[in-house]
Amino acid sequence: MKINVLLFGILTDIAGVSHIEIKDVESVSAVKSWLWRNYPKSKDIDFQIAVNKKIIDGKADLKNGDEVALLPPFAGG
Amino acid sequence: MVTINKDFLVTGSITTLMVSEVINAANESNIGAHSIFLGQIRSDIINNQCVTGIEYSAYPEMVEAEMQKITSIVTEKYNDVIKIHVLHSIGLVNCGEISLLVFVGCGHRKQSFKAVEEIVELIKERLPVWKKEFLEDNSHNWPDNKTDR
Repeated sequence: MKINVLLFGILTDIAGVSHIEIKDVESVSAVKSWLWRNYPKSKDIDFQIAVNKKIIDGKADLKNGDEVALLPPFAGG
Repeated sequence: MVTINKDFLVTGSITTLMVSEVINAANESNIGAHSIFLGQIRSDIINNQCVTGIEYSAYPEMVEAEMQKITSIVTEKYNDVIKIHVLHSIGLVNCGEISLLVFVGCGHRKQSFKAVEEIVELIKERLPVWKKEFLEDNSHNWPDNKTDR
């Protein structure tokens, strides 16, 4: 099971990359835990999560190949 | 039938040529009012350092989807809107340069003012775009629109 994680904004500074492929995570909360474990500074960052380009609230299960985007507060304009 | 452009993201600054092309293209005979908002990079002072420019990044596929939602909200609310053209920069834009263009063409002026303002506010609130603000000592910040005036 592979999940494509996309990082944006300040999270790219913290992780040093904008794309990570992670294995064996089955939920959005597991992706969050993975991020916090590997990049502890990300715990200080508020972000929304989109699964396959749709912003989700709360918990969601993932399937192989899903794209999970971690979206810090927007700053367009 | 409202006409809305497709490619919203532009690499680098939005030039005066791009602005004039948008205006020139809105020559439909039923348009009686053009309202245009241009967002420019401001040289704020942060911790005694001038902002020199902003590097924008985006989640392009979501930008397309969100812009369609934004234009739907506005066109459902304002039935006099005939044409919408939005351009948002990605990549580096220096101070004094333009990074956002919102054009609304309407039959009459009143709805054009309201629609252009509403699109700008919805872009600030909903568009998945981020800015890395560079200061003159080459440090940078990641400001967001929650704290923006």
